[in-house]
Amino acid sequence: MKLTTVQRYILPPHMLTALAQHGSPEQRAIALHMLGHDHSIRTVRMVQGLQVNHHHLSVQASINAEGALHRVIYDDHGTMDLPGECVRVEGQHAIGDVAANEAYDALGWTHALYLQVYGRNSINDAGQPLDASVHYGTQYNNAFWDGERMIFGDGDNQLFNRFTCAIDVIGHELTHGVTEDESHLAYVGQSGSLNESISDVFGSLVKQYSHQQTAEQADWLIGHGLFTDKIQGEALRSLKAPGTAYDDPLLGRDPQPAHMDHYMHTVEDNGGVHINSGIPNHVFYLVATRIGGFAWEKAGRIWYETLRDPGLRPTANFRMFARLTMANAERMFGSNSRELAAVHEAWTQVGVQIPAFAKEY
Amino acid sequence: MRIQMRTEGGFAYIPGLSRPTILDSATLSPQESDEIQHLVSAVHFFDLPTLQEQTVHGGDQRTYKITIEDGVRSHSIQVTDPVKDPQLQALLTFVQQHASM
Repeated sequence: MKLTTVQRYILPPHMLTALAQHGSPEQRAIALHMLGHDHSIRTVRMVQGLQVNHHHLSVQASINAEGALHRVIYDDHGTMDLPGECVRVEGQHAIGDVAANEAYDALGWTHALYLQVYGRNSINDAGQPLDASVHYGTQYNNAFWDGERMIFGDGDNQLFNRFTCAIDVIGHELTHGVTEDESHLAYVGQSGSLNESISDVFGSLVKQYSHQQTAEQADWLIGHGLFTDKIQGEALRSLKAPGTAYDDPLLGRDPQPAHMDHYMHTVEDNGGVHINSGIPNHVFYLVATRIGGFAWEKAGRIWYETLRDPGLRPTANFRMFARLTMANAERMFGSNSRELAAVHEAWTQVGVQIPAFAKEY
Repeated sequence: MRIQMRTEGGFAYIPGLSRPTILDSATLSPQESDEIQHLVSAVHFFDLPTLQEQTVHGGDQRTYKITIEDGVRSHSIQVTDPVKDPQLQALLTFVQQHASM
């Protein structure tokens, strides 16, 4: 296929995208040039992602090649005084603390995924420094995002190991910052479950990106390694098989549903934000494995564009989000694309009915 | 004095860890009983607002719902990590270390 000047201007964006990704060197150059004429920031970001994806192996060696990454790791030394003592800043060599180094490295991979694949420069897309505090509290069994930094406990070594040991947990926390910057999805009910699911999705993608795993190769677990060997479970959640991550006499059984028939109506956990997130989590897994290949390239891009879609309201429910994922899949890949079909089939499989028109919201 | 604490939120919802924990000062040693009385007095627990100041940002923070019954008095509060009042944090930590399900 040879592009003429006329053809360049009538090709829809999804075809240009396909050419940019799969075409000959000449076609890629023209398509990337054409996409560059679209002044949509979103498209520019997508192109940036396509450009670096083909060079990811060399880029990996220096995840801060563009000088956009600014990590600061603090040590709370078992207190709850934030942020704690600064122990490692950007560019410094590893120190003698595993948790601090794990946090530093995982923040780097998370930043790399967002910048190299989606063209996003940090949490706020404006180079916000990534701060993390480790060794928070004593035997503290949690990790959270407080709106300014990521905070990690050491675990009690009875139920949980240190929370920095799982790279997807760190990707999850940083993504809360991204979601807060983009959509303000209310942290309650279905919008809260979407907020949680988006963090799980990109947390899992950070892990897959760091390991260069395809959708078929990935374990799709969240928090693998967090449980001590005293616990009967392999992780906190599973996108592949929600409800199966653990089954332990003390902790109980993983409560996540994979289908709307088992949606849990509860007042606990902010209306089940960590429970019902299993449904959109499973949708992403289904989409990624149906499309195949690296999940961050297409499924991840559909989810990222949906997160950034101005139509994603703070009170969005599963149906609204589903429709926006379809709209973005269609915009990027076309109305007859297998990508759009994969998104539609996945939401249908989990029992989410997609409204035909936006006004049906 | 009887203290009930329920922990919600956090990185995951784990059924076995969501049940309330109970601390009855009658089961503590005299020294520990004095300590919990001191912690409750120091933070002026019965005068605290039901909802403590908390950030509206973030994700995965744990929320603690604490009820203390002492004679005819009973009061409940809710506070979310990171707890800003060090005296309230000291009370929380003591309850976490001594309460049972």
